[in-house]
Amino acid sequence: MQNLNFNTILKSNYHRPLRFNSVLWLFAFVILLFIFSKGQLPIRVDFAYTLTFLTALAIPVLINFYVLIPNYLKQEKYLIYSVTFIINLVVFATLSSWLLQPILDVLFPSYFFISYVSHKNIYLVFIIFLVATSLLKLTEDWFYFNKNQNQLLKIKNQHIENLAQYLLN
Amino acid sequence: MKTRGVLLILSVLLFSSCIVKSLQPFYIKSSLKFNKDLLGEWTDHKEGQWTVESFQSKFEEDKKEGIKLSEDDKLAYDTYKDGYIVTYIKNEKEAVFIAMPFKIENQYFLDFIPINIEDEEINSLAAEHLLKTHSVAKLDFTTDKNVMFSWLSEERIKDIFKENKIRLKHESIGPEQTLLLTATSEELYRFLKKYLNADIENKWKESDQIALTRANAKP
Repeated sequence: MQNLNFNTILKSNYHRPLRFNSVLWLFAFVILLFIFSKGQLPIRVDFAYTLTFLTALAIPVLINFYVLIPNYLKQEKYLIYSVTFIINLVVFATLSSWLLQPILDVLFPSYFFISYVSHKNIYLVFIIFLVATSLLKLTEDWFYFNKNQNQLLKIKNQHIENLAQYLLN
Repeated sequence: MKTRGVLLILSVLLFSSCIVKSLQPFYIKSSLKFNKDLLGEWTDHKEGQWTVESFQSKFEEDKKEGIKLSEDDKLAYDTYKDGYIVTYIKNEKEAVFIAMPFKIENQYFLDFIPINIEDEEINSLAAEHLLKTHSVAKLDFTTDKNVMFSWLSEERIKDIFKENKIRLKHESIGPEQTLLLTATSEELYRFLKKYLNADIENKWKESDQIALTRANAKP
């Protein structure tokens, strides 16, 4: 029987991506909307900003989920994973700090997106989200793997019971 | 606080309508740009008299006269050396402002903050409640001898807030719900930059404009 250790957990396959991503991004949207509206009732401009910001944030997160984690982390290439994770983070956070405002101005020319995330805080939000979503992904994988292991154990137990029954008869 | 030093809100002095007030200046340090064309004596179309002097020159004059500078004065010099001292007299009442010239793209603006007014008529307790705030005016040299100040109108900005098209730190204060911007200078500068290029009808309201003519200009 396969051992229940960290490496095998990491090597488990992806599953139910649509459900996982739907829940994740819905939660992310609500959390960011709450942050950007600064505890007040969100207004139209907050929805527009949050949606655009989240789109920019989703790109490095999805690269991490579907390129970096399966190809490096799950293959136990920890150093390469760490380096590419940081590159992914820095590149997209920098691009967002440069391009987010001009893109918003093109998409919503009559809106004034002023008191939101400063350039410095964009990096902070990206770090928090990338780390948090990586942990969420690994947690979800672990639960899935654990569930599969339990099912496997049940099947094996059933096999042993059936074999014992057969031998006794 | 000395009553003499207590400052009236600029809008009360200048206009019947309201201009946008802010706790922080509307400029960032790198945007400051002194323009000597504004120096001198001016009169406006509402019979007000304006004197615009260089803050730096005025400071150096005081220095030459042997006036000893305190640490606060030196700090003020560092902060406002690129600005003007603007004296405005209307109906024999005088108010003095520091006006900081700055540029957004190719457009000049002036950030006003009052420093001194004649306030004999103000109740001393009421005067204690007044707060020194910044206002901003777009500066247009229409000819060599004419200049137009167009203040940012509270009415226009309130309209944008009502349409839920802006997120800019602010408070609405007092029974009249006066708009007071509380955003940082960086945010205010970014806002002005966007507002300057925004497609908003009549965004520099006529009642918040004041046309100045050089005092010694020949007709």
